[in-house]
Amino acid sequence: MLVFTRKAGESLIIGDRVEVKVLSLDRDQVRIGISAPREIAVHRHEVFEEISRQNQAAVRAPIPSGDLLSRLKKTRR
Amino acid sequence: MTTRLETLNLGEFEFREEDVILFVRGIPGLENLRRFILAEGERYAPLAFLQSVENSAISLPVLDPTLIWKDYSAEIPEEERRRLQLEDRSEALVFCVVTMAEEAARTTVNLFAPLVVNPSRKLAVQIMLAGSRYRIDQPLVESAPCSSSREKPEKV
Repeated sequence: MLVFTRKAGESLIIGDRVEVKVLSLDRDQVRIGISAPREIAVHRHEVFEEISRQNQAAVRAPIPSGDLLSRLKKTRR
Repeated sequence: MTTRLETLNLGEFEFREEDVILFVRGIPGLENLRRFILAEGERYAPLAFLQSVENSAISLPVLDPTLIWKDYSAEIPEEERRRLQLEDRSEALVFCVVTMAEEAARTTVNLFAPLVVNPSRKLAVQIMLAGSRYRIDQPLVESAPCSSSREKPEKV
């Protein structure tokens, strides 16, 4: 991993189109601004991990019981 | 030509190679699997399953969210449309992953990260509706209004 030391207001350029800027510092929190082309998705890492966990849980879950299906069918209009 | 697959959850079924849907980026948490068949049937309706053709033990239960949440709408970012070679938004099929539980009340639906399929090209991605209020774990049965405490990234 590349490691840089930056002060508030300073930034990094990744490739020639992505800028990562340290906006402000406050004890244990950093505010970061990202300027990137629209086609580059930026997400909090924990959101991606949460989706991974949910997908894995969905795969492991039991096949639905008749009870759930019948309740679902009632919901369906 | 059809291929026969003995699956863990859906029994034995046959599929045609041209029906295989390719998840172009993989599915988070299942990254090594990209090729799936959409298995729909009266037996499981209104659920459907994305059955991996690479791992017969893996099937992902999914649901058309608009069957339950009438106003559900997934805005597909331009770059994802390009990735899916999707010219017309109305052609896209949108499914949400269902995490089943023995108790119906604990079953949840991931409304935040829907699966978007281009049925004519057989390409799919799981997208994230960043900035939306949809939940990753929306309870299925008590069709409670969607809300989330997730902090929304601000645009400066």
